[in-house]
Amino acid sequence: MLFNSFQFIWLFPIIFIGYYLICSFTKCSYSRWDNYTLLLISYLLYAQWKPVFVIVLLWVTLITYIGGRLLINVKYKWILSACLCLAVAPLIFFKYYGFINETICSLVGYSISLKGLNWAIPIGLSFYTFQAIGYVVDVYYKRVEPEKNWWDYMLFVSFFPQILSGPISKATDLLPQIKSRRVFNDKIASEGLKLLLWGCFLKVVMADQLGQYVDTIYGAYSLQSGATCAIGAICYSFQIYGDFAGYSLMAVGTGKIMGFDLINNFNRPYFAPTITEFWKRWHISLTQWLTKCIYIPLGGSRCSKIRSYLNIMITFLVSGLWHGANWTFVIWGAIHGALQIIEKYMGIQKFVSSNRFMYLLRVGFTFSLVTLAWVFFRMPTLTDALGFIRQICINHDMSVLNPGNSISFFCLSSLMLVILVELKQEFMAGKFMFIHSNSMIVRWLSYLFLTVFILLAGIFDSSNFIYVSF
Amino acid sequence: MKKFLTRLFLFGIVLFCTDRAVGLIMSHLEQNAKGGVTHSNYYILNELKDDVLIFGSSRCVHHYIPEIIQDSLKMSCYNCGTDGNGIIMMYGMYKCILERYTPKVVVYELYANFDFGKGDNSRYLKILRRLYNHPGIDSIVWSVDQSERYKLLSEMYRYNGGWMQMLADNIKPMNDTYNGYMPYYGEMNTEHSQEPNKATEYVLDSLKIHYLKKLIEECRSSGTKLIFALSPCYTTSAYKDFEFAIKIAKDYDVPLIDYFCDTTFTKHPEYFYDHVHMNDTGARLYSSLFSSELKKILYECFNNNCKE
Repeated sequence: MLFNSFQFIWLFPIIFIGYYLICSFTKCSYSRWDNYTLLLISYLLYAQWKPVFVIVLLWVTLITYIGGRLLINVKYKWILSACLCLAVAPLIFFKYYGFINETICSLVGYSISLKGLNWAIPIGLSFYTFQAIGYVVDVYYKRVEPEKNWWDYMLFVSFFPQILSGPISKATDLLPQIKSRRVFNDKIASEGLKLLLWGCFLKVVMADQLGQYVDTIYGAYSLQSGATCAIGAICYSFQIYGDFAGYSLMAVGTGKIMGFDLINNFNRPYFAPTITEFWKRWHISLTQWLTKCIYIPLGGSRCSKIRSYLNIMITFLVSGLWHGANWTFVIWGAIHGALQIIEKYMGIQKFVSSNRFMYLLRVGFTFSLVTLAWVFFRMPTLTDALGFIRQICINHDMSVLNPGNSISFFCLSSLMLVILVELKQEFMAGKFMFIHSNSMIVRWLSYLFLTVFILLAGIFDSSNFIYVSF
Repeated sequence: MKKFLTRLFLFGIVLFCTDRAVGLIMSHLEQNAKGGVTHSNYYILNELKDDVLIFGSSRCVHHYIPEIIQDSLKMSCYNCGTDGNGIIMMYGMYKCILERYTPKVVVYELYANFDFGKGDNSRYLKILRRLYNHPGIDSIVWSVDQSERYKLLSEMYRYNGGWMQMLADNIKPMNDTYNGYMPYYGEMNTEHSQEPNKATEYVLDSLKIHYLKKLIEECRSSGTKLIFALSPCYTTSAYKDFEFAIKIAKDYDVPLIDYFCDTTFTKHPEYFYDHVHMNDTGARLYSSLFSSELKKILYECFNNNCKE
């Protein structure tokens, strides 16, 4: 169930009411009927994509659960390795098999190539596999106690608001919440609804309107002017932000309504003055996972400088590969890795300036680098990515493709609104509170404005979230 | 929870009232547009009475000049093409027109992507949503997406994506049309733009094909002469995408006027605005060539006492 689908609008209220009715009827019972209900809902919603996907979900859950149990009071690396290999096997099989096969074939020179399985990737596989692996690694390093209750652990891996596209929750955050008794909280639920509304605006209005323009440009970049391609690249930066941050906010909002506090995945990433800072603000849960499960086990920064740089590069290559089995993602990861190494080498990431102009200059420069890297992320092949950048550099035609007056207006107005809101949050926290205002009239007018904007300018074709395909 | 649900309910009531109010405003804007696409669409659906109608996507809007066609045929003509739209929307439009009168001739400019290639069909509902109350339109909308029957309970949703255009067309219409024709001026720049080298492989869309066949049948039963057309393109690499169109025209005995690969136009940048759209110079030349071809077909047809 996608948050921008019609199904969510009618099904979620039923889930909400049903869940809290069960919570209130069974609050004196020793059995956790609320968790069983959530587990059943999560599995049913997951199975509706393709029932057979449930087998993969169960496999990853079972392997990591057993792995966790086997690591009680022991710290055998072979158990951890075996568990990780078995848990990650479906991911390799479905997502990377085709890529590995093609790469080997092209290296060896054989023309025999078996058909890849990318078409059959169980939805959300990368997300829940990483969440489950994170749990085993935490158990191994004694950061968390191995979970005894199988049902609670099942819910931890399959919790419906986050299974499709994260955030990748830590066992230390989510498992205690699953175990505790949850009661409906008026304020938290209202907060959840606000996040749902704002997330919906980011996705359905800003990201999807920009997406129409971006698709036209990227789809036929060779026919576009350099200026159009440059604007298309900038628009894609905002599209992917609106798309993924929108999803994450809706997941966090849904979680809050159900009584859970999920990790916030984004913190105004395009205000980052450095690439290092960008990764502390973008897809925070993945950054934390990569740090915990890749960077630190490799030695982190507590080793020689060269080794530390190598660790950064490996971590970002894994991040690139996690996003997709394609060389474009590897190059995207390598660009971010290289930029972070340069920043570390030059000490840029530690440089703090009180000069506002200098800060904005650095923000602009970082945004340009991130935007350039997104071209590799967006394009299907390296040739296309390089062709797109070439078009920006050599085609000096300054004419800009007009996507139509309505699309231009919706893109610009939604973009301006998001930028203003984020500027306010970044530099004027506590001022001009609209959906958080103390005045009920201001609050309600803000809700109404956003809802009307969504209904009049949103795109409701249930388009997929970009990150769901990862 | 009681307080929370009560506030939610109250918000629902406020939203419902806003929805109805916005719906009334939009309906007023639609009916009173001074020009532009809003006025053009309203005119086509409520006032149009011309003999020859031309249907299709943006290639239709920018390629067919009704004045030239009506001078040649001595029949009134209107270009009903709509940017980014195809058979699903056009079939709905034809149904609405049939409610008032039966046009003598319908020329349908085919485009693979919009008329038989697989894709997200909900994009073609934008105008149909506003015509939801016309007989026969609801079933077209539902065939694309069943959930539309519930979504269309909202008036605001009905005008989703189109209100800005409607507002602009009420204040200062930017694109005036000449009986539906919208000219492009200027020549395409061939210096930096390369020819798209990928041949698109189309997967046929059963729903679009269903409506293409329904249009053929509906024209036959109502007595409208249907003619398919393929206007020129700068390059011919996409011609194989139209194999299906040629086949369907042959199978159903629908005349096809095919200028797609005509060397008078292909690789002549002076006739094109971009790779797929002609400029006004190209459109004028094409319209005169097309109308003489159409005249021949209609002459033969009417002389042979064609039943269609």
